[in-house]
Amino acid sequence: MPTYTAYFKGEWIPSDEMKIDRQDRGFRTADVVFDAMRTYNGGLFKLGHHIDRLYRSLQYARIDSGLTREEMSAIVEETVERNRGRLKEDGDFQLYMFVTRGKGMWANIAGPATVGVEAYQVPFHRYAPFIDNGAHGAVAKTRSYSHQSVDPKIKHQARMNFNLAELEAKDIDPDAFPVLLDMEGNLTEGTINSMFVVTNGVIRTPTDDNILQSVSRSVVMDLAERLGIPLVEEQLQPYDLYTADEAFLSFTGPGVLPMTVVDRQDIADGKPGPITTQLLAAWGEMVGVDIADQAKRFARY
Amino acid sequence: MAKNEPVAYLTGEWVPLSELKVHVHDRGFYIGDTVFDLARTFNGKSFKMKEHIDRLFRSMKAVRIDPGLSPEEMVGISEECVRRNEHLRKDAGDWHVWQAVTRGVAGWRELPTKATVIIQCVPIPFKIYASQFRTGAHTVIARTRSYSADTIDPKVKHYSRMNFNMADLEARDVDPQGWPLLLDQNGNLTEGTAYNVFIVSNGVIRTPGDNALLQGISRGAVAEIAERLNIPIVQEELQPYDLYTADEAFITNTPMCALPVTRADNRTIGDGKPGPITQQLLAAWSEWVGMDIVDQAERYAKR
Repeated sequence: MPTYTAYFKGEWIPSDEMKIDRQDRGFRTADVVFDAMRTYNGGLFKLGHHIDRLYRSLQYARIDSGLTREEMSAIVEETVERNRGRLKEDGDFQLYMFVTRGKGMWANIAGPATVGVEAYQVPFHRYAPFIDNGAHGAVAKTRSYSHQSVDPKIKHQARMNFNLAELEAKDIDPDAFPVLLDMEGNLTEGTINSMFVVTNGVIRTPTDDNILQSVSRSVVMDLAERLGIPLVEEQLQPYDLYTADEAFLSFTGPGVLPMTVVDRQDIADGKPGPITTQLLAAWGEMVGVDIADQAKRFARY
Repeated sequence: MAKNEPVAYLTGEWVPLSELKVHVHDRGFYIGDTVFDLARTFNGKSFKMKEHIDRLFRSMKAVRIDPGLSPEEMVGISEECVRRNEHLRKDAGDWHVWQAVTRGVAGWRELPTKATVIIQCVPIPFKIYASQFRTGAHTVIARTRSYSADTIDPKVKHYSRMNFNMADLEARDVDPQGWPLLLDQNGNLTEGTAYNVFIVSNGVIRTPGDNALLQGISRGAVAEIAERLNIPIVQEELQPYDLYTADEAFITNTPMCALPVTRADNRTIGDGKPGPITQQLLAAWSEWVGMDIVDQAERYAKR
């Protein structure tokens, strides 16, 4: 099986050879923004949305990638093409693109940017085991960054708080996905996902003040509208999650993943809810892939 | 490998500095999962190495990274790094002895089994600050705030510093020479992006309490010297007002020791010259380490 080929600093190299210099600010001070998307049947999903979000992150962090959106999109597309030979084996790709500020003692005189784009198998193994019975969650002690420190809308890699949240969640439940609160104790998001609950037939999700501008979250909103399911954005607290009729996560891999246990307590009857199931089916129909079936077939542990 | 290239330790091996890289799939890169510390040498002798390594182990304890090495081993490798590069020190002046430990290489958001350990000697960047011992440094209070201890405790010395990056940029918007200072979420002074801050008012050295900032080794050294010199020093909550209206101010970190500050947010501090207590501290510090800190920086900055 051929190894994956990645774009790195203007060249095409094996993914395993992508190494960041010790002086690169992307390592030294996590001065790096990124984005990630996936393919369905080998075709990129919402490429334009992900590129737009990457450029918003760059704009906020004041990093100049040295590439236009069109050039960046073309590199992502070429990454898919160059690795197409692995599709049969791997099912579909996740694409990861990052831009660091490059080398420099100070942020304002650093550069040029280090740009990388790679493909790898969608991490099916991270969620396939939870599709039928639901994922577990745990509310972490560690909080989401205040937007006075770094705005959570930007997708960056300076996430020591996420690392701690992941460890804290596993202290509570080895399978748990962490759920982070903001400084006031409102639900925000996970380390790789947006959060939704369903109460009395209404889908509820935290407002976008203190969370990533998630592409999957916006797809859920579109699908809910198409299916005629009411959806509201509002401030939610752990209480709302504990007492919900259903809950689900949303992220690039599965689109929608049911959550049935939080802080070791069942949510409602502890089974994936009907609205979650309906959304997942609609998503699969939209992209022409049986998402659950694919994940189970291709997951490598 | 170039003849004049330092060697560095990378997870069990000694490699040329130019080959010191981390994998894109290392959590240290893709999710800022790295803690570090930084000691320096004076005349080739490491200073307070044990204190730095102890702090590194406190950082690792807090974020639960296991380096697979004991503190004694980490000190030993750091000292070995200094020894192995001693023949190059004449050109460098002195070294930063820089330890970084990442949680290691792992698949997307998975937990690795082996940490990546980096120990390197790199030349102290004297050029960045040397001239400011005489002119005084400028500071700017950034709009971006320090992390709350609820997110990642600022006592941990880690690489996940997007807020510091933003603070660097914001400071330079205000003053091209500006060293950023950050406020906490309540508007109190905390620290810079790699240094602690002190002011002097009516003969008293004042510095923010250590509940929301790095436990600076140099900050501790200032307290030791001040005690020896009988200069009163207090820790208390300070606001920008206190900096603007101070008689003198200075910032401290490992390479610079104490750098006088003469300007803050385009206001002149005191008479706009490095203050007498700052100079007194620096002189005592030089005496302590057996070399003229300012003279060395000025000489090597010209090279």
